Amino acid sequence: MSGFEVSRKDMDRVSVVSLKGYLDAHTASDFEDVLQKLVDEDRVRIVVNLRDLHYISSAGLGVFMGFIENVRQREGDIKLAEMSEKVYRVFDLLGFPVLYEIFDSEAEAIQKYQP
Amino acid sequence: MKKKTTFFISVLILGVVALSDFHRIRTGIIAFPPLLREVLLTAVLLLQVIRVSWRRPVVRSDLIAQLQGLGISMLLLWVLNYVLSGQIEFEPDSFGTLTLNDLIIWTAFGMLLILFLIRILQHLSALIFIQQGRHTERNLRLFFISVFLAMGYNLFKSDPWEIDVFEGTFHFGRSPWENGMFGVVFLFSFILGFRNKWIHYLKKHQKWRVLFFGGLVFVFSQTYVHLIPETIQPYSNLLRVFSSCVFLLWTAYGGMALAGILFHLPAAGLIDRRAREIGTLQGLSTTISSIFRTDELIEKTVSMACQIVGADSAWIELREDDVYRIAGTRGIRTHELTGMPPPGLSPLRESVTDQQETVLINHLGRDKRTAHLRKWRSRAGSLLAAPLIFKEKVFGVLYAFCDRNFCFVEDGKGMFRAFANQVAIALENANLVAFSIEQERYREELRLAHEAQMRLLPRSMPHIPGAELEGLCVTANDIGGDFYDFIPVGPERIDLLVGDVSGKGASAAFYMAEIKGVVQTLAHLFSTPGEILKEINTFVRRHFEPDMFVTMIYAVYCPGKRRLRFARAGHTPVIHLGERGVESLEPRGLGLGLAEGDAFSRGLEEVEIGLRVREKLVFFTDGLIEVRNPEGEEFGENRLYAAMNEVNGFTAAETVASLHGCVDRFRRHHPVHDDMTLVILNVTA
Repeated sequence: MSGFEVSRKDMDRVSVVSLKGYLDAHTASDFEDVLQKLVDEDRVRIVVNLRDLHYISSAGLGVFMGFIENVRQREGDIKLAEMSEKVYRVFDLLGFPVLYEIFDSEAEAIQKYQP
Repeated sequence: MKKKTTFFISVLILGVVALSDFHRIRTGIIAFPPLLREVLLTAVLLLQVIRVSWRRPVVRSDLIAQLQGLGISMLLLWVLNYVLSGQIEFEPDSFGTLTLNDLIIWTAFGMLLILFLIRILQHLSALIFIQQGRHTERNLRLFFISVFLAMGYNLFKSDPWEIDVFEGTFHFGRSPWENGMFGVVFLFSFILGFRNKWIHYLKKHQKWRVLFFGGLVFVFSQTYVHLIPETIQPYSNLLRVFSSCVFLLWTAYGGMALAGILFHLPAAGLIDRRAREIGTLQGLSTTISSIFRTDELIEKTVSMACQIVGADSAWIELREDDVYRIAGTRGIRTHELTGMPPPGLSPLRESVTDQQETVLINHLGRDKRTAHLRKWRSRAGSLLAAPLIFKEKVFGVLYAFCDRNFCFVEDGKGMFRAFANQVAIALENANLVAFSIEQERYREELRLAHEAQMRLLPRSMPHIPGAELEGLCVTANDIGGDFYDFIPVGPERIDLLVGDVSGKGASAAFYMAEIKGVVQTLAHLFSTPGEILKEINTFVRRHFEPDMFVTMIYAVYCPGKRRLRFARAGHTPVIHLGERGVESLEPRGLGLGLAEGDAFSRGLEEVEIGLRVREKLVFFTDGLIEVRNPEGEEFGENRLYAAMNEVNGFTAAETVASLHGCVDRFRRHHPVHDDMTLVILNVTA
């Protein structure tokens, strides 16, 4: 499985990270680096757009878990948006919807951060 | 004709001639007319010429031996002349006055002369044939043909040729025939004089030696030996012509060879050094390419670098994460190098790595890249720096330093570059070898880990009254994070679990082993899946990395009541194959390690189902439904459900085999990327 892209878009208060392709044990570190950079820059209001994500493995799911507590302690959050049904199924099986806010659109997720 | 045959025929002819000579002295009877006597002697010469010079000599002794042989033969000829000069004095027609003693000396002289002349011709032609040209063989033959033609012409003349270029006794204008013939012989001698390629093979000291001794012999030969033809004339007129021609060749060839050596001498040292350098470089290349340990290779490289260009010191820098570090030194200490005045070697290194060119600085103080190093070690200094390049990328720099200005020459730079290229290849080879050893070790460790992991899975299926269990775990990368276990807790309870540790490889396998141990203990302490999973969650939260989690189905089966109670911690659903068909059971539940204890407990739902005879439960991991075919399609839950419809009435083992076969047929050898686990509970009674 190959082909993974992660891009970052900084807005006023929120940073949007878009994932594309296959997020697995081999590509997880790319995603991790981007999140780590955001945390380092103290940009902890994060929306992850999963519209173009085709596949996520347990290692990919682990990336979210590795950051969520740190981000929430800094009064930020990781919100998920626009995930496909297939990807949602993976998140759902694991119980992610209980722990993470999931939105149909990126705009909604960003809106949620507005005071 | 064979060598021996020609030799015996020659000896025989000479013997017959000598006998007839003795006979003539004793009795005055002329056995052979003078003409026939000359023809016989010519035949001997012809035979010998053909034997030694007509064809390229088959046996080639080395060059020095040829030169020595030539010199010695010439010298012996000189001695012969010295000993005999004045001993024989007689006119051609003075046969009657000869004593027997005179005749013996005379005959011996003639024979020795033939022997030496032939030896000289043999050595000369051997030298001429070294790196022979296209026409060398032809020219040598034409020389001999013209010699024998001249002899033939002289056969009918009582007044023989006098060829003596130095004494000027060659009488021009005798007749156009004679001058023409002399011209032809001289022409071919001159042409053959150019065949002196062997001079290139002489080392400098050998050239000096040949020039000295060869010159000496040459001068001697010109002062004395040329008198021999006159001395031999009474014995045989044609032998005189022949020896004159041989001396002519000797004079032309020897003179030109000596001149050639003289011209070569100034460059001899350079040529020698070049040859030595190339030899050294080849030797060094062979040496370094046979070393596969990087540290040893670097050590050898710096010491050889010193040798090659005659430097005082040498060192090698290798790039690590874009920083150049000194990997090895010779004749200089690392702290001396690091203690250079800033910016040190950086400007030089940049120019070497950017241009990928070898740089020669013969005056440190005058080059702007090194001007700051003017007083670094001494007042002067020369520096050579060559890039180590692999796949068009510079990964290191090799330096050679000398504390004198203008220590290195431009040639040395070329050598240094060539050497650096060899070193680069050798270093890369050493790296590759180290890498493959590492890989091999890693593979072996993986294999051991895989074995260990496989031992953690149940080795045999437990016997349960009224039910059977079967499990299968296929790992994607030798070791994986999937596992299953059966824990008989009592006669009325057997626990079964299927789990998947996130991530893959060694760490997942390691965590899996831990979980297995924890679960074995918990199974005996708690009675419900919910309690047990909650405890495991706490354990995972406490001991695992924050980005790791485990998904698990934990089930407690009571064979007597055929009831199964289970909970799902983020794991793929359980499939129930019952009377009503295939049904997916998916109670709520978070993955282990995702949330704190209370949140986890709140999210966890326990389900209890009753099973009938011939009903089956299928537990699996996501790896099974995420298998892809070459087109990239996933096997998916729906295909699994469809496949489940085919296993009605199968035993647990048959069901596992059938489902696994179905997945394998689907993927058509497309590689799997995740572990696959399948556990079947089949109620039999």
